[in-house]
Amino acid sequence: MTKPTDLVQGTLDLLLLKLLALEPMNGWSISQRLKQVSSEVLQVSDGSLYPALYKLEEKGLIQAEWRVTENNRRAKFYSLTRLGRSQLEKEKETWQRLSAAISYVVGLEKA
Amino acid sequence: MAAPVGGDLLRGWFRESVIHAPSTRENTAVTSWLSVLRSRLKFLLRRKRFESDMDEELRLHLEMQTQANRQSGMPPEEARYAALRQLGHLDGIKETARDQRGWIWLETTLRDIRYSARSLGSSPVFTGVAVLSLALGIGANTLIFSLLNGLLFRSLPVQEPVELRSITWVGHNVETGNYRGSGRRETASGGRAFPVFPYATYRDFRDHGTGFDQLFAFSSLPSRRAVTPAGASMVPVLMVSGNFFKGYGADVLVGRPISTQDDRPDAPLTAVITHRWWERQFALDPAAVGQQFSLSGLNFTIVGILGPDYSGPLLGDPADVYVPMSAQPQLDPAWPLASYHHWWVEIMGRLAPGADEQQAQAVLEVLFKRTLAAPGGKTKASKTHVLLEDGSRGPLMLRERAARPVYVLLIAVALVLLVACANLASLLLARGTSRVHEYAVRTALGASRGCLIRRCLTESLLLALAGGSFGLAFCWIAKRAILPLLSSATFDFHFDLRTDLRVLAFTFGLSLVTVLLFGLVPAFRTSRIHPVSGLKDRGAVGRSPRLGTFLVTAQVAVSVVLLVGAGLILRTLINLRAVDPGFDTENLLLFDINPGEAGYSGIRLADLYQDLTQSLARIPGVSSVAFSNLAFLTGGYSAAGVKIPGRPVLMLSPGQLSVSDSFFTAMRIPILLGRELDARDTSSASQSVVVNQSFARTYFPDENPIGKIIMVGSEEYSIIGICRDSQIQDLRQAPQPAFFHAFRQTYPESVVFAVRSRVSPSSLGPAIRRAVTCLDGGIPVTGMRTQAEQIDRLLMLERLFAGLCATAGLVALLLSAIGLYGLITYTAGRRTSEIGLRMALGARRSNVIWSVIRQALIMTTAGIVVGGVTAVGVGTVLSSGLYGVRPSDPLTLLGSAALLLAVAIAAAAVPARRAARIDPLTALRVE
Repeated sequence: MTKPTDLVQGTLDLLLLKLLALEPMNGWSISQRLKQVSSEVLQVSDGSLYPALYKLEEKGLIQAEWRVTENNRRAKFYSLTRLGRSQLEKEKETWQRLSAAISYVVGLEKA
Repeated sequence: MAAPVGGDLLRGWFRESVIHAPSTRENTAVTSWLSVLRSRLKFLLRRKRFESDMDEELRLHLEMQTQANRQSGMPPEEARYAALRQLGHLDGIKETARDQRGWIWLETTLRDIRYSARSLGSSPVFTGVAVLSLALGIGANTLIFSLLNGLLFRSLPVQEPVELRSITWVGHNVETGNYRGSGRRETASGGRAFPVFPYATYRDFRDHGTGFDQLFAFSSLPSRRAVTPAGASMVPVLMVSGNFFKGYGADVLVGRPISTQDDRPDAPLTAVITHRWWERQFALDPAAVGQQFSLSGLNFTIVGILGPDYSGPLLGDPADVYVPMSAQPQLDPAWPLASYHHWWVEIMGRLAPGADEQQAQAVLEVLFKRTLAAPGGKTKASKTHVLLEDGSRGPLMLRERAARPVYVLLIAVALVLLVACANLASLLLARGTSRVHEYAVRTALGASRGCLIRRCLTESLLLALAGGSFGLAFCWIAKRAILPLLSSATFDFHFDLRTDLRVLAFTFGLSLVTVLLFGLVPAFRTSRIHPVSGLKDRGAVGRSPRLGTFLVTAQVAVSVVLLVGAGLILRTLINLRAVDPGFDTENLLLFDINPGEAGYSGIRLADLYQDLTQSLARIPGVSSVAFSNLAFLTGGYSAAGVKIPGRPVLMLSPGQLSVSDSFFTAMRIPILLGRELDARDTSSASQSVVVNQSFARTYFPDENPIGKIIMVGSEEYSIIGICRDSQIQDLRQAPQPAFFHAFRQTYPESVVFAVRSRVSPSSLGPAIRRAVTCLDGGIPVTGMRTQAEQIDRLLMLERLFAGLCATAGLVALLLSAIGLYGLITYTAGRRTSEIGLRMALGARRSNVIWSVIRQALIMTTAGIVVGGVTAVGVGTVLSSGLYGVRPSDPLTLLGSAALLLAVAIAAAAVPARRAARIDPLTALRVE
């Protein structure tokens, strides 16, 4: 079982929140979308996807409901709550500051 | 140089971002926290739904992935396999999801509790014995602790009891005169502490003291005659200063408290009564407020009634009627309020907020020195000072003394608990060993060591809870048994055995500590199982029951100590009962009357006694009637200094009693020389006394005392007779010198009648009450008891101790028997194959039985030896309480040892016979 050690801690949450902010999705679609958007760079196993979703749901950042898919199948659709939306804004801000800082440090030239 | 700078920089940024991140969240903190809580609660309640949703969702994921794979051209089998591989280990995912849930700790705990309860329920014998052992030990400790709590620890039920201070004084080489107080105490510096002051000193304190919100005084009048609608009765009274209720911090239920307005010389007489007295005398009638009742012949108006939870400042809370000090000149004229030389009031104070205690004490000290210096005082003392002591529990002097015997009991019950703990520990050990297989399976399936320990401890905690609860129940039953015994022995003493928070905390704290302490070792031992060896061989762990043997031996030793202790006290009690009191105690009914309180004096008093004697003698079944101013064997007596004219003064205070005509005949005390007191000894006749043998021997060693003159104070008495010695005060001391006056020459205001009957004495009660009422309905008959009951009362402490120690000893014996039985059963069970082999080789049943019992005997004997030696040591420490028996009393020691051996053999006999019934073939086949 691969754990998301290749992702910076907490970034999977950020990715999930961001994806769900675009539209409500079911688990399998999220997994497909993750692969799609991050293609080769970010390796997220399906195994760590579901626990992460449940955690967000328990925290009240996302909510789930059973709905019928376009293929006429029942599936659990996740969507962002109001709390999740504001959390996403904060996380985004934090992430941007952090990544900017890291880029700056990495880009430092020897003086 | 640059690299470290870069590193620091990096750390700084990170720290900033980490610190910064949460602070931006705080705005919505409250709402988000609430919604998190809500969603978490939802998750807690929908655990089943969570599981099924998760199953369904993962199944759907696989399905969709399979379909996607097939669409990309994989064959069906391959498509499903690939989907599974992509998703990963299904159960692993579920486990991760479950573990990260917020309520996982609660769920685990609940699961542990459920599991433990089930596993305890599935072995009812183990659970029953463990809980019973604990409950007995805990219950006994709770009972004794409740007693101690009531005596020493509980704060008075008043406002802010911590502000209260009890005021006492300390002096060296103290001589007291006109002193009336409830006890004194040695201080660490060699001085003595006294609780009472003159009332005039109190007034100085009150008027000139600083730092106190209130300084209040009280003094108790043990027994006064009250006449209410319910009839005449005797009641203990507390005289209080006008600010008592304000300072003490207690309010009334109905009406108003006594105020400073009531405590003025010209104020009408008022009283506040307790709830229990209200119930007894007025049947809780609210109209009692405003009503008058008579106290010592004076009319008092009830102004207030105290609540049912009220408790007075004195130990045992005896008082039922509170009256202002202004009633003192009429109620108690011998102790004048203005005097600096009569010591009789206790003082307490309520500190003002933020007061300087040292300064307050210094001010009182200056005022107190003035009292001692007042001219004409009989009280002398050096190095005196005033003490402000914690008053939150009332004056402590008597409480500390009363608590001393309770500590001995506390040690006894602590020993019982120790025995119970040993049982618990060996039970848990044995249980652990018998579950080696189960635990090995669990370990093999992946249970961690911590998980196993947690299971063991959860079980222990459940046991503690059950043990504590049943212990409380035991304590409750025991209280109901003991309280009547206590209150029958002490009239106005109200024992406080309430179960308050402190008692509950004690009980459950004790259970918890016990079980954790004794459950931890077995838990760790069990958790050390190696799965392979545990599964292979059921007997791999706990190779030797050495710990078990030690525990049982210790149990036996402690039981011996308790049994020997109980035996010594029992023997003391038997010896005391066997003491010849010197008079006939059979068929004797006693009762008290106090006509002096009802206004009788002088000749009228003597005539009343005479008339009552005659009418009592006419009651059918009565054979003789006598009275005296004090009863025999009450634990107290009245003493007087005696001088013999022309002789050096002996520093002795012989007992003195004022008695009726024919007292000695009625009590069956033989007159050895001369005559007894009778109708000839009138007020006009020459003053005569009868003395006892000890008196004659002490004061007139070599001559005939008949006709000799003795001086009591300034009065002269001539000796007219010598009677045989009798026990006057109690049964422990050798008879003391005593002399007896005629009642017509002393006019005792209250007397004890002794009615000897030919029928059962207690059946005479109603007839006696009728006879007294016939003469004067205003004289209450109180304290009716047979002489045997009087002796029981005298021996109350010994009886209580004997009863409690014997119970403790028997409980310990029972617990040891259970422990022994358990250990022998366990070891015999483990020897099954060995015994089978022996029997196959020709051992007889008797050999097998003996080999099992021998093991029990060895442990018991070791325990007896250790316990016996300890018991003699303990007995020596407590020998002052014994009578006619030495701590090394062979009968007690051998008796206890024999009892324990018998119980041990009985406990071992059952498993021994079971072992002997082993069929060698079956036993060998089991291996």
